[in-house]
Amino acid sequence: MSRWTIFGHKLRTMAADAAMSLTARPWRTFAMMAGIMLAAASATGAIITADTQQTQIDRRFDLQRSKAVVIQAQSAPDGFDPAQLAAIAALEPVSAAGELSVWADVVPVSLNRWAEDFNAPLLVADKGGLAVAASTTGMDPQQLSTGQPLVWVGETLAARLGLADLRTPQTILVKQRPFTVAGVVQARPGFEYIATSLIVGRQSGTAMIPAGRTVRVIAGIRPGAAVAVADYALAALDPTKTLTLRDITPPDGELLLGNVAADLKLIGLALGGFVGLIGTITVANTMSMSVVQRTRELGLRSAMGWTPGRIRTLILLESGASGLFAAVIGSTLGTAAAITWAGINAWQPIISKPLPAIVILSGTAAAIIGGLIPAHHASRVSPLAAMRS
Amino acid sequence: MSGSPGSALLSHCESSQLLARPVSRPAAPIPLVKLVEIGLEVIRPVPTRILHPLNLTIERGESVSVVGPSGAGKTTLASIIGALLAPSEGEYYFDGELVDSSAPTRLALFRRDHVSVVFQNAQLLDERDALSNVALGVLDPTIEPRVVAECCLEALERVGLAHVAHRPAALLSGGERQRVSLARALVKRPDILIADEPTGALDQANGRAVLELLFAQDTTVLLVTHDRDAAARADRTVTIIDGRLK
Repeated sequence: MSRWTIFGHKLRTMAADAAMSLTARPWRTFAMMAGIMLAAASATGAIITADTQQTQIDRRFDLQRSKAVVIQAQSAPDGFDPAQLAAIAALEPVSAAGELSVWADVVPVSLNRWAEDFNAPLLVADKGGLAVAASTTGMDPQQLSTGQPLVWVGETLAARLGLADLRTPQTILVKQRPFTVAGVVQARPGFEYIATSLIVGRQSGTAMIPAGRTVRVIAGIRPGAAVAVADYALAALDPTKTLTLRDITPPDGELLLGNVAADLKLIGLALGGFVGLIGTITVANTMSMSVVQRTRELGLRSAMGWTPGRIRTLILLESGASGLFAAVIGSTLGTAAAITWAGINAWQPIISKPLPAIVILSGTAAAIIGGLIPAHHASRVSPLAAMRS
Repeated sequence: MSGSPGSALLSHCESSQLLARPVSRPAAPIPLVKLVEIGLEVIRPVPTRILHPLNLTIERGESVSVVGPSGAGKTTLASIIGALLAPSEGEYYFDGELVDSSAPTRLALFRRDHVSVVFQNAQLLDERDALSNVALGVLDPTIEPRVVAECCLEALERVGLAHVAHRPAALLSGGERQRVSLARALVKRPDILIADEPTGALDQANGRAVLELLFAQDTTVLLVTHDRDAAARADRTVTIIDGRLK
């Protein structure tokens, strides 16, 4: 018989023994489970509710706090109507608006044919789009619309290429095509990727790569106007709804009121931890009483040759099993309560995938920790206890 | 009573893993139990001499009864032989080997491998059925659970209680409980069976039945009793008074 088979027999016998002990005294077992069950339920419920609430809060605040609206088109081969872009830019809360599309994730760029090649993202922009995302030095970005082979280089990329002095016109190769460096751009917060990118006008971009990876319009706005501007932009840019536009305005962490839901989650965890501690103490207390009540039984087991280690394992199995069941039941109850709460508020509940596993493992661990001292005491019961009783 | 000891119903278990456990048997006749100047003195709560240094040998297959007044040290002596208690002095040889009583785990393993005990009050787990109580006596993980269950049932048959195998222990009579306890002790085929007042809580008829079963076993038996008639059934009787063998 293999060592694993023997281990399997041993574990199965011990587990059956522990199960019989637990089911033989259901009320005691329930009392032992109650604390862990409450802890698991409150922790699970609080965390799911906090996550759900956080999503709701984020959704509301994202549109309030954003300083830019971003509209993405599934495809817009001819670009956007300049008149409509101008109309968006003319709105009162809008500071500037225009195209800023990620045309290619990587294109090769070098100072000349003999210099080292770098890879950089290629963006297509117009003056309005560039004004929202970056500040520029060099030529007027209006030149982006002229169709000339001009390129604006993000400051980080410019440093890598060694473009230090732009007082004399310099040429670089983008996809083996010569481009005059029109200026260097400094990215604004939220558009950090521009610092390592190349920016060209739409005509130049299309000449190199016929269709861009994304086609986007961005509008710089004052905080609080995102909803209205996005709604207007969606309707204005695509009145016939042929471009399949989506509002993908990103959240801006700067102006947020602090993460209210993170505090909620912390409170939930603290509550769960506190109740869990009480659960651990309950397990320790109940198991200790159980060990005292079962002195005769434990003495009998010892007299029959159960080693102290085996007796200890039995008690830990009992406490662990009760903790496992309590945590499963508690986690289920907590999840059900949180889903009910979300349903009442017509919210989509947010349930983190590892949460049940974490709660169940924590509950089991708490119960095992609670069983440690009683298990130690149980292992010290003399076999004579059976003879004397 | 159905099922007498040593009957054919043991055939299955005798060929099974459970009963085929190898026991080291020396070529020369060596006593199964040999106590050399074994004594016990406890320090707490006050220093008390419970057992004065004594010598005792028990041969394999022999039945020995220990008699004496209450508090004389009978149970203490049996407990030391059964490795339930470590002596404070002297040496204990079992089957020619020194019993290491330095750690509780070593004593537990010794009990597991060599000793079975029948207690005065049967000591069954009331919430479990008779079969489960008998199965508590088998701790060898190399034996398949199916074989354990079959042999426990056969052990119950041996004591005439196969028909109550699935009855909770709480519902058994005093005599039945003691016979289940005996089945639990016999199922692992111990080298020595220690019975501490096994008939003390039984009426005369049940007590007699238990003793018949006890002494019919093909193993070494140590019986602790107040009952002179019960003691007389053993091959040999030793008397202990005030912690001294007489």
